[in-house]
Amino acid sequence: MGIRKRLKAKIIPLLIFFGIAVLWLSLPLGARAQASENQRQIVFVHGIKTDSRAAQNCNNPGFQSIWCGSSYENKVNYFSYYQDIAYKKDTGGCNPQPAPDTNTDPLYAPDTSSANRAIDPNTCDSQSALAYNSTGLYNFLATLPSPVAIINHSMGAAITRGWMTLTMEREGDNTQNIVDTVISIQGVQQGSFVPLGVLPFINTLETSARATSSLLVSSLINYAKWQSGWDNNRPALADLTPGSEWYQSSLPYDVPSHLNYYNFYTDIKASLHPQFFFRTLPSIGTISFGDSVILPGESDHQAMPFLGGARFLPFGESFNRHEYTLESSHDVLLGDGLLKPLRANPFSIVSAAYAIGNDPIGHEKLNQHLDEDNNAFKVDSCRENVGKKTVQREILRILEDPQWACLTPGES
Amino acid sequence: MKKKLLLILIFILTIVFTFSARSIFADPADTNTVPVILQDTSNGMMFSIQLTSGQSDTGQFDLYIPQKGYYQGKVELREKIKCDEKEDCLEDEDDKKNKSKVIHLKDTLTVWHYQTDDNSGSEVKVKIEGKINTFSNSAIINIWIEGNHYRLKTKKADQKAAEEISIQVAQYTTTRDWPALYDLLSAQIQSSMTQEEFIQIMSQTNSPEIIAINLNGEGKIFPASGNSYFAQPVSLTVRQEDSSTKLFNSTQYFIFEDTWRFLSTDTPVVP
Repeated sequence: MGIRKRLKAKIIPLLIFFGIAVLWLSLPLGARAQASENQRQIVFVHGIKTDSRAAQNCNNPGFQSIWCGSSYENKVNYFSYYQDIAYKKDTGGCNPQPAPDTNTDPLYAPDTSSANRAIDPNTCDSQSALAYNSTGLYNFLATLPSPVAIINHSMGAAITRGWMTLTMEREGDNTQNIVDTVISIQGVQQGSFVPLGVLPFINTLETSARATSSLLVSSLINYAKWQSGWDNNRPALADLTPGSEWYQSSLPYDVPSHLNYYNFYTDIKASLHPQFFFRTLPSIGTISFGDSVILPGESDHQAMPFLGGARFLPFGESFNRHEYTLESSHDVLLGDGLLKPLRANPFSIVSAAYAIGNDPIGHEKLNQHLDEDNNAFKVDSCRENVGKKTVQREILRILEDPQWACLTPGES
Repeated sequence: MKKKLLLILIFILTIVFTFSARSIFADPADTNTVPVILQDTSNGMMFSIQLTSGQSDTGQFDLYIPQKGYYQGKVELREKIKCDEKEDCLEDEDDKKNKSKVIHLKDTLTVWHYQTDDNSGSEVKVKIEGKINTFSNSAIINIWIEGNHYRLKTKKADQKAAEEISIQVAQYTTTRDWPALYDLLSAQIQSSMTQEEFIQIMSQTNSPEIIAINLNGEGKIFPASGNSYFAQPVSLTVRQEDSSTKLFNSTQYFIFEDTWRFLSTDTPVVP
């Protein structure tokens, strides 16, 4: 073969390679990610008292509105709890369900000899022990092809945290290589204040208007208890109490450092205004209620705040890690909003508590305000100068390129 | 015959629908009540308990003892008990007047104990006995934990003193004596604004001029979240822009902070 021919044989493949590379790099970031990560799977881990089967129906209201109608609609795997409501028969009772994986070490699992029905195939209320759900999630993830993004809500975040503890502790773990992204929405990262009752919340209020604040706190906690309908006798509620044995067994462990972490939490505030006949006086105190069942808490992933929290930002802000704050505020009139109804019935739940408990970004309502079609709430995008976006838009954008989702165009 | 049957059927269906609709649309305020909260301002102890019978959390209590932490458990509610601390169990005048509103507690039980500083919990044995008068929001509760005796006793608020301060508020409002009115305000308001700021707000002329305030019926003491409040209905005479007068009804609210202090009103309404 002549020199020219040999050169041709070497140079032409090189030119083709560089040509493809140039074309690839000239594509916008999102399109590049779309092309490379078309195979990304989503694992949705739902919250307490929710049905993994109902979540699969795009006609039902819920967090599925994030991906329903998008290119991810058919790439979602719905994780079922041990004792998930999904096993409930329409005629009553439960369909057969897999036994839990009880190899939970180092995670705390409740005493199965007590009346909490921690292991009982005839219970299906999605209020099961977090430890069995974390081992279940671990086993479920191990069956999936990489890459996987976990999207979790409420108790789903605590279950995901349990999975992280297992990945850090188990030798030969491979699930860390399967999952690359964790997106949490109103997660019970450090516990919910509701099971603690009223007194700890009142005593830790940092306001001089503690007495009047406690009127609203008392009503809100009792309304949240009523609204959530959590069963005191089941393991989930005990696990989700701040400082519980569950949190003591999961939070001290580190989390994988190579994952992309995105966290959405809510902070609803109420300001109390005394009235003087026709005048309204300035606020005498502001109370933060978080999402009405979980306070913001601390972003440190190993912190254990006394009243719990929903924040979660391991290793700080970066191109692939961000916390989104959903905020709203309520002005509560002391006379009309609190004292007048309590005068009529001192043991009633005041209307201001209903308003906070039913805030569109509260724990019970956010899943109906995520996408453009449903009067969505908007948050600041993690990319600078992009403005406010719906939670749905921001999550779909993260899924396209989770490693660089918070990189502002032009930034390097 | 058929007509009669049809009428009976409609009647039955109406009853069934009424009852099912009531259960579906039941207001949580009808079915769920806020627990009573009691506090002893002399030692900082607080006690919260669900006294409404027939609820899943009836008897469930939270106790706070300063420097010791929180205790959560469920105690049996009784009509009458033999009390170890006999003088605390004697009926006082309030109890005699409102016998049906007095609830006794007596139990020895294992409760969950946790502290603010280390956030970890453990089980502990507690003996508890006492009485709660839900009409006057007064209580005496004795608690024994690990050999220590704790006593929570609520302070009684005086209705006559509340009525007197209500008259003073009316007087200072109509004479626009804002410094004197500021002195009657709850410490919660005073700590959020200075006297000067309060006077500045009250001196603004963008609010209708109140020329007379009269007490309108008997006031009422009511308990809420560990404090005693007093509500005094009043009627206001307001001068309008065309110099004519108009009557409104409102309520003055006070909080008991060792003495009665003015807290708020509600929005005046035309009677």
